[in-house]
Amino acid sequence: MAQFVTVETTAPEYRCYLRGEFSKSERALPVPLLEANARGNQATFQIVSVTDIKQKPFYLKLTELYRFELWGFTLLPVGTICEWAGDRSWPTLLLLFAAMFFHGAVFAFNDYFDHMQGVDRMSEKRGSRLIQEGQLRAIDVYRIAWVYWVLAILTGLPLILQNPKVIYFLAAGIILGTLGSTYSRFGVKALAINDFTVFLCLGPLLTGSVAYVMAGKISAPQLVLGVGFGLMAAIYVQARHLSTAMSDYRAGVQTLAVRLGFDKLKALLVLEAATVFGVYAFLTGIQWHEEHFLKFLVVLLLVAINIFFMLKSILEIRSPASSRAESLPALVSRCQFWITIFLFVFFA
Amino acid sequence: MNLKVYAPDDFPSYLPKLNALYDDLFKHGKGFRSKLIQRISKYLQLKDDQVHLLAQTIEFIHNASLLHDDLIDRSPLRRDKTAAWLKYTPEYAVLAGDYLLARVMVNLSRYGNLPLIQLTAEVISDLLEGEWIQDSLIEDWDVSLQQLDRVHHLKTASLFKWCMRGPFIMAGKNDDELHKTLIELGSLLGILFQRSDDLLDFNIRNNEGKAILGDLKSGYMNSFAAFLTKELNEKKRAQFRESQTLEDVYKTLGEDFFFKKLEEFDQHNMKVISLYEHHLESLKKYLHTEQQGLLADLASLPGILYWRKV
Repeated sequence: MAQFVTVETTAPEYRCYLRGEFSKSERALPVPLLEANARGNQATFQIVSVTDIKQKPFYLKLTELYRFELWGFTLLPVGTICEWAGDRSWPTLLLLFAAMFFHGAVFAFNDYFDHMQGVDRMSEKRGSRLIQEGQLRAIDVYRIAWVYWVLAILTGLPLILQNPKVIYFLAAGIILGTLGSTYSRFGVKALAINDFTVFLCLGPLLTGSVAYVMAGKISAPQLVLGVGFGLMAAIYVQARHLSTAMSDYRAGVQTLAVRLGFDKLKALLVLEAATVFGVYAFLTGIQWHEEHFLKFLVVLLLVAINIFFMLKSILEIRSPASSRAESLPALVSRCQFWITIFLFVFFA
Repeated sequence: MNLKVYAPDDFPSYLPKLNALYDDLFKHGKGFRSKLIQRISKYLQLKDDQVHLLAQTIEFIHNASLLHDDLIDRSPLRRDKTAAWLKYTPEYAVLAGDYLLARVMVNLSRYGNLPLIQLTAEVISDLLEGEWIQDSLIEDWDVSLQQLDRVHHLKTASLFKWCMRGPFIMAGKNDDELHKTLIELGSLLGILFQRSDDLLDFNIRNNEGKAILGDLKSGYMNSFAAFLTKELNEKKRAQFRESQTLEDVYKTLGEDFFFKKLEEFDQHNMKVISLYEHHLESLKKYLHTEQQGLLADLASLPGILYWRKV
């Protein structure tokens, strides 16, 4: 018979259960909430022996925690701009490593904080689910996140020392990222436009700062490409929020999906997807007499195919509970992955 | 208890066919929800008219949803009889459902228990939301069990939550923490009931002789169907969708696979039952000594609702 424990969120043992520190031989798996606005001041956990959970090999856990499938939003855009800037020397390698470790840190911290704030109990589609399945304790994920973070700083530090102005880009990213993820009165999350900070941080700010680090200057096409990357990242976030709109609405969480409503958000997604195509069409157009024109044309064709499938999927979504809504984020990340892989390969 | 009539002005006789329609509707129902109300109310020492009002309210809301459901789904039968929309007219079926909800509001507002009115209004709202979303899932063959649970939580579980909370509110027990526990219990009962109902579609523990594969033929993937087909390839899923009989299902999936998945589904739901029993323990502290018998009564419900024990 399954064993459960309910604890007050103010009790000292709550944090122990949450972080997995209450026992070495057992895991406390958070019980999903169906009543989205019932989080209240209690949480229920299922206590399971570690030996009763079929443990995946550690390398597989690390792989799933790392979220390779989201490289299309982080590492591959960084790599694309590095190659576009034409640099092949050690700064490129260091920047790629820094981006790799930063990616790992961000998503591991995301898993940890979602779990600590109880967000994972409201939606089964967030994060890697390793904590919720008992594969890793929250404290382990936290430690792994810090290892990635330290490695990101160590590999990124020489780049900052080489060009101290990079600090301004980093500061802008950190400020935007913080504003975008907080509900404080200065935060944009409460205004339901944290998608906009995602657009900036994974879009023009990312491509602009990488171009600046690599070549000491930023070109307009690199910023425009950043717009394309940022829009896809925003679409991904909005697609996720579309599928959790029912529970977010009932829990009082203000996302853009909740604010705009189902129909208007679908329209926005269609507009954004069309704009992504427009961005690549524009970039291809301005390359007309340049050496990269044919490469851009091939990428444009690939983008057209991917955008077509995305639009088809968006238009087929009939409600937030539908399977199309659930699968849209994965489709968007796959599309972005293939687009950026091709860009990366073509610029190499 | 005559659930149909609480107030003298319930169901005026001058409205043509109204009483006949309701007599048909209430005649063959099991009245499980009103029986649950009566069970709980016994321990809270509610007066007869209070129990009557609660029982009528929940049966009216439930039957209103059935009238509308049958029309939306174009189901020809309800409880082995011709559905109201077909026997009378679709217009009468809609109006009859609306009329039941209106009588609920009239009788409750006359009684004057504001928290009960508020709870009832919320439940009706949740029910309609669940119905709205469920309609969008017709022919969505890839819907996940988790999303179905959210819909069922609105549609089915909301009524069970009302059954758990209504008597306590009527008894003047409005403690927040008590009601959080009642909400958990009601939610879990609702999920168990729905999943058991979904198994009937595949002739599992089908003592009441419900039509086989009715949901699938209507284009709706119920919770067990979603569970069965989760890991299948597209070809097998397409074949499954075309099934007209249980033999077709066994042929497509393999009988061994089918019953293995049934066992897994039952184990999955046994965890839900364990969670229910866990929350039932926490109800103890809100009950006086003479009310502790309620726990044993409530403990028997998963057996009745999920395992269909008579």
